[in-house]
Amino acid sequence: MSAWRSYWHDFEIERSRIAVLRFGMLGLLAWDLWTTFLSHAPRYGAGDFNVTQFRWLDAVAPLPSAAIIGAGWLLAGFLAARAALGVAQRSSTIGAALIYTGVYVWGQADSYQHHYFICLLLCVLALLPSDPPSSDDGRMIRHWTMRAFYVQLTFLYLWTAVTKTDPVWLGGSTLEQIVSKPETRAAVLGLGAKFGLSEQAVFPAMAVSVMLGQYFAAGILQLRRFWWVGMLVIPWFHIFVEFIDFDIEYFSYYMVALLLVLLSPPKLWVWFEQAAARVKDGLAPLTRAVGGPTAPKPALRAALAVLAGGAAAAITTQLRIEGVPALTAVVGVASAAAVWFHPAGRSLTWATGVQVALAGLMLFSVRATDAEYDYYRLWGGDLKRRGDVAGAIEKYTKANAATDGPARFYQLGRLLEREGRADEALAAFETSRQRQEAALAQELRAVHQATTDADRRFDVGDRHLRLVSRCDRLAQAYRRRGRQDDAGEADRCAKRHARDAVDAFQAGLKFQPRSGRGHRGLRDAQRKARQR
Amino acid sequence: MRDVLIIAFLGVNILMPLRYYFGDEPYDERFAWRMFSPVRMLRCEVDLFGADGRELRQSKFMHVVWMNLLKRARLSVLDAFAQKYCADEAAAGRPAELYAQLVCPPADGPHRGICRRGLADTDRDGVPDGFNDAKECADGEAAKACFERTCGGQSASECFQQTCRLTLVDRGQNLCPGGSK
Repeated sequence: MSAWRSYWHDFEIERSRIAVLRFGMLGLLAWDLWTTFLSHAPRYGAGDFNVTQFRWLDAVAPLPSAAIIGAGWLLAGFLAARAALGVAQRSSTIGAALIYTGVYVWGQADSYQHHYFICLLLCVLALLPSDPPSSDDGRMIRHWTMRAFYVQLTFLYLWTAVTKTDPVWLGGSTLEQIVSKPETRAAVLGLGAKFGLSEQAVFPAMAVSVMLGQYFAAGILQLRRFWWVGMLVIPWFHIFVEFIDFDIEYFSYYMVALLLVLLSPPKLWVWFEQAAARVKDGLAPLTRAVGGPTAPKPALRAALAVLAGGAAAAITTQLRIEGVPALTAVVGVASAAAVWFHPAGRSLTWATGVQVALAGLMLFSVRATDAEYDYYRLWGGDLKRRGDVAGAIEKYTKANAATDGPARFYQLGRLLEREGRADEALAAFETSRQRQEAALAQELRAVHQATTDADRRFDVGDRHLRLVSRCDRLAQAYRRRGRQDDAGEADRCAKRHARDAVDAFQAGLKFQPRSGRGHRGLRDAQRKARQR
Repeated sequence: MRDVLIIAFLGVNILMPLRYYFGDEPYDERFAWRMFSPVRMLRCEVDLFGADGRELRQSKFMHVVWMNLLKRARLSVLDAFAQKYCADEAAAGRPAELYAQLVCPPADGPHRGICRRGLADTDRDGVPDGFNDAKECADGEAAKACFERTCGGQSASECFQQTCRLTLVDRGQNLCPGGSK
C-alpha cells in the first residue's frame, strides 16, 4: 500500500506547469470546439437517426439535434477558455468535461479516438480540486490527478504500440496506404535513401520505428528522470503525422503541447516562475490601477455580474447557428454567476472582462473561420442527399450568407430549378460565376507569387473547370428565358475556361509530371474542351 | 474515494482495450487506442435491400457518417438502422423487411497473396500476382508453391472468395425481427 500511496498520492508537480498545461490544453480545446467541431453538429440526429456509444444507452437516450450539439460545443468551448484563464476554473472545467464527454457518448457520429482521449483527460482535470494539497512554499502541487495525466498518456502509447505489434503494420503496408500523396511519398523515400534504405525497406523500417518509439514513449512517461529525453524525441512522431498530411484534426497539436509541458525539465519551470514573477512585479502598478476592487460591496459585485452576463449574452446572440437563444441564456447566466461567485481577494474586473472577451472571441472564431459556413454547407449537403430539397435550399442560403467565397450558389441554383424557382436559380448561377471568377483572380495572383508551385496551378485548373460548369448552366438558363445573346456569351465563357483549364494543368504537370491530380484534371479539361 | 476513482480510471484504460482483444468484433476498435491500425484502413462493402429485393439507396435514409461507419463494419449501426427502418416501414403499412450484405476484407489482407491484388495475373503464370511478393510466402518460396500451400486445392477464384471476402452479414436473413447477430 505504501508503494501505491507513494506512486499516486505523493506525486508532486509544479503549480506553474499545471497552469500552463491547463492554459494550453483548454485553450486549444476551445478553439477546436468553436472552429472544427461546430460544422459536424448537423450530423447528430440527421434523418431522426442516432446510435450512441453503448447499446444500453440507445434505449434511453433521446435523439440529439444540431441545435443542442452545436450550442453545447460552443458553450463547452466558452467554459474551457474560461478555465484556461483561471476564472471559475473548477466549475468551468467540470462543465466542459460533462458537455464534451456527454456529446461523445451520445453518438458514434464522432469516430475520432483522440476525442475519447480528450474526454478522459478532461474528466481527470475536472477532478483536480481548486485548492489541492501543496508543498510548504506552494510551488509544488500534490494530487493523484496529475499522476493520472502521465498514466493516461502511458496507456495511450502502450496500447497503440500493442496495435502495431502486428505483422501487417510491421510489413509497412498500412503506412504506405497512409502516405498516399505522391510528393509526400517521394519525400519519405528520399529521407529513407539518406539512411541507406532501399525503396522496399523504407516503409517497413518506418513501421518498426514507430512501434518501438511508442513503447519507448510509454516507458519514458513513467521515468521522471528521463522525461527530458522524451520531450526531445516523442513530439517528432506527431510532427511527422502532420508532415504526411494525415487528417487527424488537432490531435498532433494536443499531443505536442501536452508532451512539451508534461516532460519538460523542472529547471525550466523554475526559470519560468522567476520570469513570471518579474513580469508580474513590473505590471503591478497597472494591475492595481485596472484590477478594480478585490473586496467589493455586494451591490457593486451584483452590478458587475449583471454587466458581464448582459454583455456576454448580447455578443453571443450575434451568432447565426441553431440553438443560439438557449446558448445566449446559458452563457449570460454562467458569466453572471462566475462574477458573482468570484473569490474575494481576486480582481473582479478581470473576471468581468474575461466573460465579455471570451464571448467576443467565440463570436470572432466562428465568424472569422469557415465554421459557420461549413455548418450550414454540410447540413445542406446532407439534406440534399436525403431528398429534402426545401431544407437544403434553406441551409445553402444560410451557408452562402456566411462567406464571401464561391460558396454553394451553384448547388443552390440547381435545387431552386428543381423547385421551379427559375428567377432565383438564375440569380444564384450568376452569383456563382461572379464568385468563382473572383476566386480565380486570387488563385492567379497566388501562381504569380510562386510560379513553380504545381499545386497552385492545379488549383487554377480546377477553378477553370468549375467555371466551365457554371457557364454551361448559365447558358442553359438564359436559353430557357430566350436570352440568346447572354447564352452565347456564357457558351464562349465555358469554352474559354475549358481551354484555360487545359493550359493550367499542362503548366502544373511541367513541375510535377507524376501528379495524379494533374493528370486527372488534364483529362477532364481536354474532354470538356473537345466537347466545345 | 480517491482510490476508487483511481481504480475506475485504471479499469477503463485496461478493460476497454482488452474488450477488443478478447471480444468478437474485430472491426470495432472503439476505446482500444488502436490509432493508425491496419483495420482502420479497411473498407467493407455494404448493400441494403428492402422488400422484394429492391436495393435501398443508403444516402436517402442516413447521413454519410453512418454510411461510412457501416463500411467499417460497425454492427451496432446496422442493428439500429434495422430497428428504425423496420419500425418506419411497419408504421407506414408496408412490409417490414430489410436485408443486408456486409462483406469485409480480412485485417491481414495486405499480407495475403490472394488478397493483395485480387485475381489479376498480368504475368500469365496461372498464379495471382499478389503471390509474387506476399509477406505470407516464405523467403525463396516460388509464387506457385506459395499459392498451392495457402489455397490448398482451391481455384484462385474460390480461394479469393473464401479468404478475401468475409461475409459478416448475409443477405438471406431478414433483419427486421432480430438484427445482425
